[in-house]
Amino acid sequence: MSQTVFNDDAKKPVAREDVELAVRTALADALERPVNEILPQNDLENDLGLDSMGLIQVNVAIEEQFHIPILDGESPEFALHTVEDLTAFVADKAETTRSYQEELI
Amino acid sequence: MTATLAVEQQAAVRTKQEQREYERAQVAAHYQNSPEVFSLVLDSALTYSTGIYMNADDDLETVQQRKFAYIQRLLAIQPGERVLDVGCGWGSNLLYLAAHTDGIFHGITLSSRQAEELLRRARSRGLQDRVKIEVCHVEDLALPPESVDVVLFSGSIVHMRNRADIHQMVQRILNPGGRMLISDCYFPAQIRGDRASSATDYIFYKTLGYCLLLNLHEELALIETAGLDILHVQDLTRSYARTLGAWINKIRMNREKIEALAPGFAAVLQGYMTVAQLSFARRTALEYMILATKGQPRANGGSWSMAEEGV
Repeated sequence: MSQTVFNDDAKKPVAREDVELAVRTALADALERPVNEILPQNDLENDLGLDSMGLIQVNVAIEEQFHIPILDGESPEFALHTVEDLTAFVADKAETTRSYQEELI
Repeated sequence: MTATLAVEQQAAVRTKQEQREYERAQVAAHYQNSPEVFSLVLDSALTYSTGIYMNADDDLETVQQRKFAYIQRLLAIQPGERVLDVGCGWGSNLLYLAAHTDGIFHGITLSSRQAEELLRRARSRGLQDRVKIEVCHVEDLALPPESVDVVLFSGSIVHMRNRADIHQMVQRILNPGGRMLISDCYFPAQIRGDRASSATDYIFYKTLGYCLLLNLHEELALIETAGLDILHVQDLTRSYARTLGAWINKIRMNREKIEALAPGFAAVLQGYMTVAQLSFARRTALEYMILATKGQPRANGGSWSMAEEGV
């Protein structure tokens, strides 16, 4: 059975598999590589070569899909290392974000 | 080879005419996007440059209106004085100054859509008799010597490589006592951050077509060498970081509408604006306003300083 997280803004649960696929797709788009080459255990920087611009593009793509803002200072670049870490970050963010607009400054 | 270096190496072997045509094609593209899209990101005047923040709760409209008023005070445009706005955009500064002074305005832009929108706004406010707009490059201008009182570059000179000639031209066309105002981005002279990164490539070339960030002292030296005197330099770096933050938040609020009008453009804007916001916040890029004069300033705007928010 899959883990489920909730995004109140969308008013429906978001499956963990969907988050992982969205994260891998966003990475694949930013890196211009096929999505099947982006594996959960891959290190964002060392294995995939994700740079600061790529990370920003990934953040924006995730924002677009899940309607959750990834605000300044919480960018995962220093805290997260792998695709799996990023997936967990996004899933947690989707779960704890009560309202998209509420978080905007 | 990094994109930044490659682009500048290619630029270095172009003739001035070739570089002008390169800028005309590269820079216009971004600004040819629909003004309706930009209205979902920028303030109501479509100001595509920094505002001036002074208070913690300032909103985007307030900070842009404050900047217009500040520019009006710095330039002190007298009745009948001729103002050239180079890279006038959709007319944010030009239309404010036209409405608040009795000057005569000539705006130029590389984007026909910007020119159309500016003219539409000028007509709707009854300002069209004192406003002329041309779609051309600054180096296409063939204005007579001593025919202009004010030259304004707001967020535009960064797109122009041939700065030395441009400052010489400004010096030539200005009347004695004329003023030039620049508001734009610079690199700190101290090397900070990676200027040849994919983020730089994304913002300078992929999104905005062509940008050349000088150091402040290089721009000031070119201005002085052309024969103009520097009156005032103001740092607006912190304000630009906050302006970009306000634009990004508007993209978040209006994402679906922007997507409906221009699929994919919201992500492009948010991506490059996030890079720029981080750069100004970390001061790996700086935003300055520069006021210069040809000889003794004919009009004195009084106090030239305005403190940004001190927080």
